Amino acid sequence: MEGTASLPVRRARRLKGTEYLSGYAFILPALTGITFFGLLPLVYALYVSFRRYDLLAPTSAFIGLANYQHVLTDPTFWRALLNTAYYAVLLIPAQTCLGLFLALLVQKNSPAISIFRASYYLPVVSSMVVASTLWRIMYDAQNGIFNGVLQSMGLPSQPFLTSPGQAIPALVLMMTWKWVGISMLIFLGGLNAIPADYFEAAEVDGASRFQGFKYITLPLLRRVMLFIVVVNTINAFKLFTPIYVITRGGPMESTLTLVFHIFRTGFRYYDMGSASTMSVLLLLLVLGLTLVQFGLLRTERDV
Amino acid sequence: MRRSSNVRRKVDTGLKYLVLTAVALLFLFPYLWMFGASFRPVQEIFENVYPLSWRTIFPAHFTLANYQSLFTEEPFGRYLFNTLFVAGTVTVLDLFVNSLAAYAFARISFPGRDVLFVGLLATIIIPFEAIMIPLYLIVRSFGWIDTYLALIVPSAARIFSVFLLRQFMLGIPRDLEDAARIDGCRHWGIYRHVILPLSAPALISLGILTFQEHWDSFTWPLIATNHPKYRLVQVAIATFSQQDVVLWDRILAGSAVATVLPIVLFLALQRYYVRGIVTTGLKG
Repeated sequence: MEGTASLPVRRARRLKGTEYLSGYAFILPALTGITFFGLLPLVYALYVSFRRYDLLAPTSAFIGLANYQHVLTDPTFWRALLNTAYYAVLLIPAQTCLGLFLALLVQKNSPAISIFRASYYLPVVSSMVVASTLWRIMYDAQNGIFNGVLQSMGLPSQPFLTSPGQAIPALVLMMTWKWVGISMLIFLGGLNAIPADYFEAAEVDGASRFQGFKYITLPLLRRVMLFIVVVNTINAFKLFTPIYVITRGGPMESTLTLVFHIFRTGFRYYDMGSASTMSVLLLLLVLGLTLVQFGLLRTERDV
Repeated sequence: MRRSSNVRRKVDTGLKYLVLTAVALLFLFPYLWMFGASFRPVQEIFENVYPLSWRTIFPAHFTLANYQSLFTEEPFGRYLFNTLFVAGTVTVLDLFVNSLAAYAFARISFPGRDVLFVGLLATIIIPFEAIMIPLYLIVRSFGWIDTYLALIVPSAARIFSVFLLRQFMLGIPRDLEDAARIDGCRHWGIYRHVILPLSAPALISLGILTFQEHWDSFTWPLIATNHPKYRLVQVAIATFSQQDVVLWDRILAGSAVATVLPIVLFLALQRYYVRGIVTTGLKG
């Protein structure tokens, strides 16, 4: 009697056990990968940031906060941070305005429009190395198309990437061309979410198309815009490939970005301690930016 | 009144298409020039760039010499094979490993599941650039530098893919599994025979995203390999311009080859691809 009563219970418990086990088994490969190659590096960066770690020397030694002191008093680090911030400040409005402009241009669905949409998106799918190389050629002082156009208009040639003052703005123009397709797609999503009756109602009330844009479209796109600002700010702080391919941080360290500085410190000067310290600082910076901006997004939702 | 507004609308549409075309040309010009220039003799590559004419794009003297030197004087075939192999393997592993986890997070209940998922999801904000130095040190301590393992294994598992696939799987009606369960299928059977086939659209868009991301990937391959035997296409193109003499012929031919493949993929599978981007709002 007792045996038959407890059999289903025991069976259920055993089933539950295998259910749990299969759950863990299914996530095990992904969990292992993320732990070893995503989380462990974080911990390891923190560990190395407290040590003197020369890539070529066989041993490393605990040196407390010396790396942090060194990095935070190093003018090159602040230069890199400032360059990166300057790049971000120029990039964000460029991406937002051009992204919205393109989204409005290609908002309607038709076969012709979808071809235009695809061509604006093309740079996003092509590689950063190729894009950097092509823009390097276009910016060339002698053979570049930009100076060709300037000369034909009777304007003086510009040094672009070879001038400390123009290099960052020139990079911003290039990166806007490269990534604006993403902003355009996100804006398109936002635009398509606005109900058409809003505009119909406004038209009945005698509003012009511009008024419709100003009083309906723009206010309703605020969250989308904030999201684009978030994505672009974080991406701005990761700037590396065009710097490596074209400018190498020059001229006169005017394009030295944080990530390029980390790369150079680690793999050219073999100072893994300082490079790890800056990695930790970069992570804190991105984390801080993310928190601030998602805070903004949340308050935006409450309004 | 009506006619004038009709005329105005036509003018408006004409203007709009003019702007659309002009902007499209600005976006396409660098690529058009690249393809044209890759078929020019080396000494003519930078000729006829300006004033703009059809000669800006189309070479005056057509030649395949740049492609020839790319494949004979450089082991570019090897680089292409490496890139296809690495990007392909990472894509397959990514889809397999992360769809398994996605299935567990969507369909199996086990203690700590939701905490674990949210915890893993939080790691999505860790930028690769902030862990490239320690990741290099870890991979080096495994003895993986200058091996395919370094290029493949660290990239396979990622929470972005788990998240994307889990979202998709949550939308699959549970009734479909009940039939399989009555037939005696366990989780593996349900995953393999019900969920995986039904997730094909998500797997395809994720697969294309992953493949293209690794086709274009540069920073990690640059760090993790030194030996030309394991060099990938993007690193090779960057290397051509780091020499004492910039090898423009190889740069242009190599760039043309490296660009064609993702474009062909993109155009062929555009529908899935765009859907993938729109639902995530993220780029690689």
